[in-house]
Amino acid sequence: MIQLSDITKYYKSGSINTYVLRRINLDIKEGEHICIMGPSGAGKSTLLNIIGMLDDASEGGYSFLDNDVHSMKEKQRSQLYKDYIGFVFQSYHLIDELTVYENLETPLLYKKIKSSQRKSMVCDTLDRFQIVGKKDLFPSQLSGGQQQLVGIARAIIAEPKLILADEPTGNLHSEEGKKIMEMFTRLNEEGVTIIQATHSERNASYSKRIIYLKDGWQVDSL
Amino acid sequence: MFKNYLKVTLRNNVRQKGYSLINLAGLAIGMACCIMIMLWVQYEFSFDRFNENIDNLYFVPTHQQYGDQKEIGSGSPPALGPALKEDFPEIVNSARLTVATVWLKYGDKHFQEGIMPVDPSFLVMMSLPAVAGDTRTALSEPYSIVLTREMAEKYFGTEDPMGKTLIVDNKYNLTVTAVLENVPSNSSIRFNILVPMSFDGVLFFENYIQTWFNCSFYTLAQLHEDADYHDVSDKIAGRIKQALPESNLEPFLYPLKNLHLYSISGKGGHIENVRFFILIALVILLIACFNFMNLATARFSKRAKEVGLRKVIGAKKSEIIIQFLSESILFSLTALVLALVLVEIMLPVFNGLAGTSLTMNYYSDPTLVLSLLGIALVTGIVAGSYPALFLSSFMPVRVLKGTLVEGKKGSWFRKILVVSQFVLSIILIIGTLVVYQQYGYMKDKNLGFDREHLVYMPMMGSFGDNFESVKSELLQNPNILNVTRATHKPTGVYWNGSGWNWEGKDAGTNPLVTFMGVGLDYLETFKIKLLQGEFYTRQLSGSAQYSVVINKTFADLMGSGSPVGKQLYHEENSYTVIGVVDDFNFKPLYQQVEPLAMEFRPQFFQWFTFARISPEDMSGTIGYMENMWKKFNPDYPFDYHFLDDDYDVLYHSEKQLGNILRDFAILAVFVSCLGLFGLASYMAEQRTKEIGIRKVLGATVAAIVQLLSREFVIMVVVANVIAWPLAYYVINRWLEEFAYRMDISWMDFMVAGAGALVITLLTVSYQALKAALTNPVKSLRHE
Repeated sequence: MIQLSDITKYYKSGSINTYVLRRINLDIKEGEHICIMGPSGAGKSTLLNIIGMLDDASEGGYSFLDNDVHSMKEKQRSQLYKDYIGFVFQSYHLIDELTVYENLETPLLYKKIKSSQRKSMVCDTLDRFQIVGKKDLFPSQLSGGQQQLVGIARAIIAEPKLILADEPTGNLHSEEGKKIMEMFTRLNEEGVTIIQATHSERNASYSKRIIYLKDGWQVDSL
Repeated sequence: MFKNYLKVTLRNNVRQKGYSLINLAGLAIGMACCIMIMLWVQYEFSFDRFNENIDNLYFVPTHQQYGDQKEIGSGSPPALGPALKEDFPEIVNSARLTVATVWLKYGDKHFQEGIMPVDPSFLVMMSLPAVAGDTRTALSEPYSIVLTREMAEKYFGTEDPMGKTLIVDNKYNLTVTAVLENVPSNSSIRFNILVPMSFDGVLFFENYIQTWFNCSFYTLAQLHEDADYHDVSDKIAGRIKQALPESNLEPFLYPLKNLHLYSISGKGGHIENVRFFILIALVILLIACFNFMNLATARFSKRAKEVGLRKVIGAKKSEIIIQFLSESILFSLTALVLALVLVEIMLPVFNGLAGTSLTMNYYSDPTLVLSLLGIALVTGIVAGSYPALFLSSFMPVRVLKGTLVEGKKGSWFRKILVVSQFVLSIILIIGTLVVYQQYGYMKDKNLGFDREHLVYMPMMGSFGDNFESVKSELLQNPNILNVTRATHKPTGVYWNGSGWNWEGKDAGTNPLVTFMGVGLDYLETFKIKLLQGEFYTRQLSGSAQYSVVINKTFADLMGSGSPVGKQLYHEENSYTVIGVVDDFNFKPLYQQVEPLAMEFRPQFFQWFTFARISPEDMSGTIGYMENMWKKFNPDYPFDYHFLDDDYDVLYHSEKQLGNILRDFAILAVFVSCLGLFGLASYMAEQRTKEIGIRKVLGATVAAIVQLLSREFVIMVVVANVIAWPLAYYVINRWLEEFAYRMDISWMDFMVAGAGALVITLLTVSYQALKAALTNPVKSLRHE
């Protein structure tokens, strides 16, 4: 599904290049559950963003579902990640002015899904995550764990093939974190590819493959 | 999709009520001003259009040649009107009008009124609906009179005026043959009383309305629909010269519908005002839009997260733009509703200022509603465009990570907006100060004579014949210091003519000379200086018939050397110059002093008696004068005025302009302050952390306030630097139309600049102080 070859990312300031990722090679198949681990500043988020097409690599090639991402125009790219990729963030990033229901509805609106179908998709998702009773509450009225659940729900509501999660349990305590991880496992069993970036050893234990990053390099272990 | 946008924007605005209200208020005020000015502009453009025939109605002014100079006069000779209709088939109808002042009496109601003698065709050509009587025949009899509703009420109250008799000048009986609706306020031609033109001949003398040379008449012409008015205008140019070869007058056609906006000479005219106020409306709306842009982009950090998120979950850049544009359009529509409420409240005040009676006709005027929506739409798009583009260009990653710091470009743009607002406000403030000053200058300027405590009375009937007795009786009162008479008040002398000759006159000059009849003691009463020769005295009055006293301007025109003793030739007569007086202003201060010839000719038929009275016991003196009046003039009510009261009214339009500018300047400053207030509070909020740290490190409250205010002070100074030259240019251009102008002083600029600075500091310091007094623990904890 995903092929990264010699992906390198640096930032220029004057004549000095600050390298964030160096020559990353990765081959990820559909249905995998992968964890990217490494200390702070290792480049985990950057790698995730590149995979998610939110950022560009400075060098190297990226093929997603046999599409050469680098040569694609902005419009095609955003179409691609809109259709196939869902993002989960560390700080949930829900729209504060919308209720849970409306937050879940928003990605469907951007995909121009019809009203009646939208309704059924949102209700199914609420059901699945067992947050039906909270559908009319605003994010500020939910606990951290509940907000992250909604964030994940929003990421998967459009039925993406791939979920990218950046420190999904970073702001949660261990009970809530466990619930999130169990949800990921369930989704993976249903066939969704999951790539996680995390510090947590415990989170990593839920995944089937671990990739280690240190100072931008891919290493075999930490 | 839009419901989604709607929910977000509504809830957002409710949450940040403070900012939203400031923005809404600013935008609403801007729109309200714009709307009122547009109403007024629409009114100005509507002048005279109530006439059905307006497209075929033309005014007939004349080109006048004075030596090398060509001028345009609005008057035309009385013989022209009928001749135009007679000789030119393209002219299907014509009418003459003129003005006269007479005394009207009915029962115990006896007043002096301005009347308008007109040809009967006037009522046919113009669309003036009648309340009673038939406009087609109302003026066919010479001793008829037509009143407006207002005038009818004044004399007849609730009685039916039709067929009743009004006595004119205690001599003539005129029958009321029609009553017209009051002339609408948007008519260039205004009157309350009409009489037939033939009656004007009765008032003056037989041939008065048949001559080819007296330009105190106005002529209207109605052209055939298919006629080309340029062609006809060329054709009629020679008509006066055809009858009177030595005339220097050439009539031409001027569309009546252009009369109000564009004066016949092409200079001045109300269009200048209209353009000016459209500019002001746009300026204020722009200031309000700038505010909106400023506050919207300033709050970006709160919305940036949402934008980044929306992009991640699939929004295209264009969808983000549409979202924010719709937000601002919605906001703008809400502001429109508020603006309409404001207009309803402010319209009476505006009407008072501008002397109009404008109303919002939602039901009868569909274009009104459409243009209102249009204004809201355009405002929404213009004001929302920058924030929409700015926000939509965010890279989602940077934003979500919180690493997005406001770029230099963003803050520059905001500063430019604030500076522009202040530039505009400062220009408005300076303009207001200058207009008021010019008005005050003209009102108080020394006119070359002393106008204080000068009382005048128009002389009617036998009063004029007995002037000498009147004068000696008045002088018996010790509080009456001097008495004289003259044919005009010095507020405006409009008897003039060309064709004055003298030895050594340059053949190319043919100046327009004003002449005025004066009495003995004119110089003493008015305290005007005699420069050369002598003035009329009792001894001289016998041989006074062909002598004149001229003013300094005329003397200078006659060349070097004293003009005393020289001859002036006019028409068939020759006059000897016996004296030269110092220049004094006998017309409003828009014009330079022109040459003036004063004659002592008791046979003139209009006179005012002027009396200089002592400031002591003025009411007693007036009482004495009233008794004297009753003795000599029992048929007419006592009519007296103080000359300086007339001067207060003379420059009324400048005073009005000053008032209007003042109010708009206040609004502009207020709206700018709203924006400044919002901006300042936002900036204080942004720097909460920094302020907390500084306080912990030992900064005093004063130092923090200074820190936060400094940026704004710099912006105001820059605004002043830009505004001053622009303001100077604008006020110079405005002052050009006055022959007598005030001196532009630094003070005006200083006051405006200092005012702007003080207002800014007051606005900003509230926020700065609030921020500086916050407990640093609170601000640092939110980390």
